[in-house]
Amino acid sequence: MQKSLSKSIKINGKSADSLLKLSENMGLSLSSDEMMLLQKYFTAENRDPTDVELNAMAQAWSEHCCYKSSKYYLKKYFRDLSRDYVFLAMEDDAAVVRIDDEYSYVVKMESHNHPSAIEPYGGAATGVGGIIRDVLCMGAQPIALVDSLFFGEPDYSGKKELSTRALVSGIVGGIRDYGNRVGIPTVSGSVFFDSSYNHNPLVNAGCIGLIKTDSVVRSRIDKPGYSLVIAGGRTGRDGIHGVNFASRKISGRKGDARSVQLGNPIVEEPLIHAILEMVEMHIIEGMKDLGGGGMSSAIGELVHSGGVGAVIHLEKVLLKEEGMLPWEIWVSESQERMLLAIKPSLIPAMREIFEKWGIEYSVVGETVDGNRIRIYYGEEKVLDLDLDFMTSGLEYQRDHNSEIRVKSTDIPAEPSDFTGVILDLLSDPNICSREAIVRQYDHTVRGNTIKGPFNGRINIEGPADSSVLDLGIPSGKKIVVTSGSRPDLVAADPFIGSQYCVAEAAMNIMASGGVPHSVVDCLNFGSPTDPSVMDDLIESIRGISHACRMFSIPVVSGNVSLYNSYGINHIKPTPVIMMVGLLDSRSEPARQYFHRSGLAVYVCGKMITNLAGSTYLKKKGIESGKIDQFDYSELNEMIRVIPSAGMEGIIEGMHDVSDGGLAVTLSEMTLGSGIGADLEIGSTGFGFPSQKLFSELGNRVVVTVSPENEDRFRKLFSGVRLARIGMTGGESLIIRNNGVIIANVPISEIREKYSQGLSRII
Amino acid sequence: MARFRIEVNYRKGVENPEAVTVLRNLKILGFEDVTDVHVSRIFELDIKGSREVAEKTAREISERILSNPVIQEYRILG
Repeated sequence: MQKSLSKSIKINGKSADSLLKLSENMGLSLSSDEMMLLQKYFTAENRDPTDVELNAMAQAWSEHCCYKSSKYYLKKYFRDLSRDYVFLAMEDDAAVVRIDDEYSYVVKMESHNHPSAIEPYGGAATGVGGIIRDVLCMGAQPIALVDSLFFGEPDYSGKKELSTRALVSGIVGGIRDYGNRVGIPTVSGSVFFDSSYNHNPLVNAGCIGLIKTDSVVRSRIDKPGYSLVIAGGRTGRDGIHGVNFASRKISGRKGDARSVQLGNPIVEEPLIHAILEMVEMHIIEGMKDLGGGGMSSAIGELVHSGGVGAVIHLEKVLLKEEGMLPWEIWVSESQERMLLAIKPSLIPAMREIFEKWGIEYSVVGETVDGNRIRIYYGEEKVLDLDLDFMTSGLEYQRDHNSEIRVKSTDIPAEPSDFTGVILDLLSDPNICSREAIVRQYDHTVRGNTIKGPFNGRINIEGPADSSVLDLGIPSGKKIVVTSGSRPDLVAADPFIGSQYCVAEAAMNIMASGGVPHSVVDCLNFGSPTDPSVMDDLIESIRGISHACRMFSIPVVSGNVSLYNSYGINHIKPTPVIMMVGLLDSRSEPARQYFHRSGLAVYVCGKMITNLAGSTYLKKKGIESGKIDQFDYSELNEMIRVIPSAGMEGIIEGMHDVSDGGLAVTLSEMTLGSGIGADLEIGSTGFGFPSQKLFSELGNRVVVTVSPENEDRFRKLFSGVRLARIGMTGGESLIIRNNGVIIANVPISEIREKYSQGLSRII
Repeated sequence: MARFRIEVNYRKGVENPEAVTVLRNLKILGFEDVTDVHVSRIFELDIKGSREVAEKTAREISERILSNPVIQEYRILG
């Protein structure tokens, strides 16, 4: 008789303590309570579990797979945020949102933080590969990538951990090599440095795809008798227990090799072509990407959400190496794999396409009536579980309480040298040019990108607020996309700060002339077992929900990454907001620079003099207290009128006030053309010049208007606070306060400081 | 002066995309009998000073710079 490859693990009758020890020894990352629940289930089944079953349950119950700490709050706050144009939200592997009657975009963002901390290059690369497959598995052509990255202090160099320099080079290299090789442009994103990420860098990757709405492939199969196929990369020992590892704190670098997935874009590229060809021929009935949790979570969810069961034969899975045990095959997180449900009569058609593209595949099982999943290795049954139990997951409402936050913010003395302060801000790692990073990514491959991360005259471009993709669809609609976060504001007040994250994204979309359309959130927090972190998480979810309600934008998809902690230190709460907007076919994307002399410069929207959360104070080492709310009704009015102003050609350029405040916004606007401005800030409201120039709160946008259009502009913007501050022209940025020149910054110096900021890291 | 030959390999179980691609292309070219391909890198370092101290330096360089300990391992060939 064949030697048994799977073994029964004795849990029945064991104490809570010894169950916990067992969980630790097997690398399951389950708590003693969770082990007790398993014990209860198997006691009722009158047997002990196999090693395959225990590993499958550990995957299913990991924070990464079942969102056990956040699910209750996500449901509570995001459930009824939808709009009639949303086709699929929060159900399948990615969201599907209608653009017009015929086409939809597919969107999703996910974190790949833990793997990137251990193996930056492979971790970031597979984050990109994984998010592409999430979009692909809905049947969509992936068309653009975004990524938001968070690193420790630029000079940080830990003893045991990787230095920030090494992390930046590895992570950026991974994103570059995967995205560029697979031929999907990286069009937008953000980079942020803060000491709270010294041990826990964050890598959030997002992807957008385009699909005809009637071709959407669901992440479910509801009919028995369908073949289950694994296609693409082979299954290996890489990435075993990846999700369990991502659901606990990081504790060093060595020995975690198996938790890291490694990418191979050369396999993924033809896989995309093959899958899309099969989608077009309507061969695929249901599809999922194999990501965190591997086959275990993909197959379980695919059949369970369709209400059928499955029988799987693990010996049929194509392996990278011999001698893999059944449990290793079942939970491996090897990359570039897709799970397809195919009608048996269509298998020959599938084979033809896969052979044409040189893709390996194997039929590993089939769907059956009932509610159980049974797995065999040869003749031996290694898993037999109730799918309700296996995929239901847990739901926690953990303790939470808000810690006492600093209430007020010290106001520093007015600087004597504003020119120096502005130049210093421009070279800050969180404000300066991202070109050293972003230029490594191909942002125009595929030819859809009509506005990328930079805009302006060739060779002297400045930063753009959001990117615009021409989809080449009959309605002529274009997609606008942005992603980022405001960790300093969220740390000061998670409820209001998270609203700022949404508002900033909305203003970025607006600054390209677009209308905000949908939100994807990627929530990165510390350990949920710390009540103050839990409170941050809940308040942040509540803030995003409130903001989306006020802007009438649906949250269509999301991801939660917890345990971004090292010892007792947690990262700053970091809700990343990826926002998609639509740009009308009649509009050209708006520019973010002074494109010619003689334009009137306006500051539109509410100014808040509070300097809390600003880069200006952070650089002075002053702790930030409470932050103030922006004006929703005014911002909504701006979102309403700006697209039509853009269509009528009234607005020449605009740029929102964000990191660094008004002074940085104005400086950045000089970069794209080398044209300066002579401006008077006295008329923008009450407050010290430092508050007007460096506050990052409120909802201000700088707009340039041609003098002959000023009357029409003022009429259109009658519902918005307006201050006309001067005209563009000259070769320096001159800022006056009540007539007195307080700063005179030559553009050549702005450019030098701004472009050199990251040079010491890259 | 001592010379060190250092071989860097992917750890067992870690797929090397380069080797996979070479194998695949050999098959396309008709070399059906090839069943596996391994690709590794060899570095040669000349290091000043006593053999003992130089070897310590070679090990440190191998661990920190030439290999990625998470997915690769190195051997000093001599």
